Amino acid sequence: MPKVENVQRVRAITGLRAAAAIVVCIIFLIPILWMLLTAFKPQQDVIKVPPKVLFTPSLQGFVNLFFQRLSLPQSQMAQYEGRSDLNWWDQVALAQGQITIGPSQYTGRLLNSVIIATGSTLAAVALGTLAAYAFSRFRIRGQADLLFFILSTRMLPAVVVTIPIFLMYRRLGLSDTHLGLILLYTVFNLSLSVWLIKGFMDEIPREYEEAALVDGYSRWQAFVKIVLPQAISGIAATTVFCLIFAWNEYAFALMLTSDRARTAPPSIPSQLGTGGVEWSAIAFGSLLFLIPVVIVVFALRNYLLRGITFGAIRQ
Amino acid sequence: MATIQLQQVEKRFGEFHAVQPMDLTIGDGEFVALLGPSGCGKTTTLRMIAGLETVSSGRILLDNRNVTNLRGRERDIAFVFQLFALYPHMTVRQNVAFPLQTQREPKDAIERRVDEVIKMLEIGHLQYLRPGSLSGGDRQRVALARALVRRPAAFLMDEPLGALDAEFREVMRVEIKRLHLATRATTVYVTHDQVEAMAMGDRIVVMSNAVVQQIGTPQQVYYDPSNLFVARFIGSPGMNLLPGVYGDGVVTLGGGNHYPVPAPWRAAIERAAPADGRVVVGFRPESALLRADGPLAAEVYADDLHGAYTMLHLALNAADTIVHARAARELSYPIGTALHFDIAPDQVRFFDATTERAIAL
Repeated sequence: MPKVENVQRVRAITGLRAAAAIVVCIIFLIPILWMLLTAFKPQQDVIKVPPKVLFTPSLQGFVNLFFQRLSLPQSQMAQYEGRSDLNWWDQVALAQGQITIGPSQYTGRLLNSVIIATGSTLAAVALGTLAAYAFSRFRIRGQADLLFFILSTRMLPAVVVTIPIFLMYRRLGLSDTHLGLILLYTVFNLSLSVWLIKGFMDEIPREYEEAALVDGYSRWQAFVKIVLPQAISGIAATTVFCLIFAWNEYAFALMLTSDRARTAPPSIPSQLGTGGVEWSAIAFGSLLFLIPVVIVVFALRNYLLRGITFGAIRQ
Repeated sequence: MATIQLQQVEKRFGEFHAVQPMDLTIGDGEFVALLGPSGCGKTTTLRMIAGLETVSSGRILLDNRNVTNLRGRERDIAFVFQLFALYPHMTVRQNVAFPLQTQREPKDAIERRVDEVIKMLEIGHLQYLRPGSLSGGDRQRVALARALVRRPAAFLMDEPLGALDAEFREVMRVEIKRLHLATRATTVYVTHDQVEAMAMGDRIVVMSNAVVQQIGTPQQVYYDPSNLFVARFIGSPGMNLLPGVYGDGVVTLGGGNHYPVPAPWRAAIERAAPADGRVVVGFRPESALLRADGPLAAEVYADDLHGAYTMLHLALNAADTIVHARAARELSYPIGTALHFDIAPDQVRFFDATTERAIAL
């Protein structure tokens, strides 16, 4: 029965492939896993050498991340330990010899990140899509020079321009504002989005729009109803790239924000300062920081697979 | 249905002339083929009629209405693209209904008309599929259906068969022709395939280098090309063209051949030929008559059997000119055979060698 053998062989190969994929994933995910473990380790286990893999999970990381705390002098410990109105987080804090005195700023920072990353990504992708369509479809005077100019904004490392931008922003009143960072990230991402989306639009045959133009659509209608659905995978891929940049950006955020508009990336390492290095809090913060991007990428995964192959799959 | 008029229509891209000023009047219900090699301006002309390309100067009239500066959608025409341009994210039925929906027609009227067209083109079994899963011929049928559905004033087709394979091209050629005969819709059809243009066109507009070379019926462009370009371009192979010098009723050809000009032509040539007498003798392969007493001597260079006939490649004696001659299929000549032939007197044509224009009888 050669057929059965064949089926078995196919199954075996599929199984091997899956196993290989799992091994590769595990290797790549070790840092994430380590972060996850660290986030739930009690302080004394975090710094153990050799590292501990099995430990009693603790919520110290969570409490230290989300609450401001004060160290208690020995003399008051007994008094607090006897109280019965303590929340579970108070008890976690107390176990470290601390009391919570209010929420930390991390939630606000994370919210700032969400606002700024979302705002700048939407702006960069929307503007980029319109510009890319114009560059792709119309004869524009100096088109090549303009495109090069747009690309050239990426040629200087961002760090080089942080000081001038810092000075400019202070003068303009954009320091430590959401608008300031949204503006900056938008401009920074715009070159990427224009170039990427233009590439995708170039792949869409003009005839689709032209057919629609002859059949009764205006240019705008043809763009919205014919071109955009075709370009959606490319736009989704570009969105993810822009979002990841804006979400992860550290240097500008560190220089240009202090409190009101401070985003999560520069605030996570600032945990280093309060009362020793609180690795579990840092790990917990990093872990939470990963989740939104993972959600977006997951939501767009179908478009991404098509988008990243750059129109290689033709009709 | 409508008439289309181009009046001194031209298209420039900067200094470059894509279409030199041209005049063309297309009658109601006429099928006109724009024919020419690639880059000759035929597609640009079509796109100007469609409103997809702006006109640099001149006027375009649709049914005597000046549409020169109107957008495509205000012209009431339908365009069929070479690559079909079916919207990939819509089903066949949605594609066909699209032009009616953009005009906000009542829903039941749309459904009725779409059914009608789908039936006419026999694509009912495909209507809920996406274009991506259709064969080339079926895609073309859907594209035609989408063009037909609106009952436009005119159809513009840009090499609609160019993307099909040879076998299917012929089937679709006949279908388009039949569709035209059934609807009698004014049609402008761009092609670089002269067989297509000859078979389908009521009239053919031959273009080259942005200039209209000749406008005429298939018979006219085939038998009476207006210049050497048309003579060469139409027919496969094109007209045989032999340069020579006219004098005293005889054209002296290269290699010592002399061609006695048929009497009716002599006066015309004497009147029209340049002072140096340099003319070009033209004739179709089927107009060469192999005869022992023919005035032109040649040698067989090659012969190919084309099934119904044999195509002889004749080298005119001592000249490196090759003449194509059609001979009966039973005949076969060894290479090097010396032959004599004549040209059917009513089918010979003459051209001015300098201006390259046909000499009128």
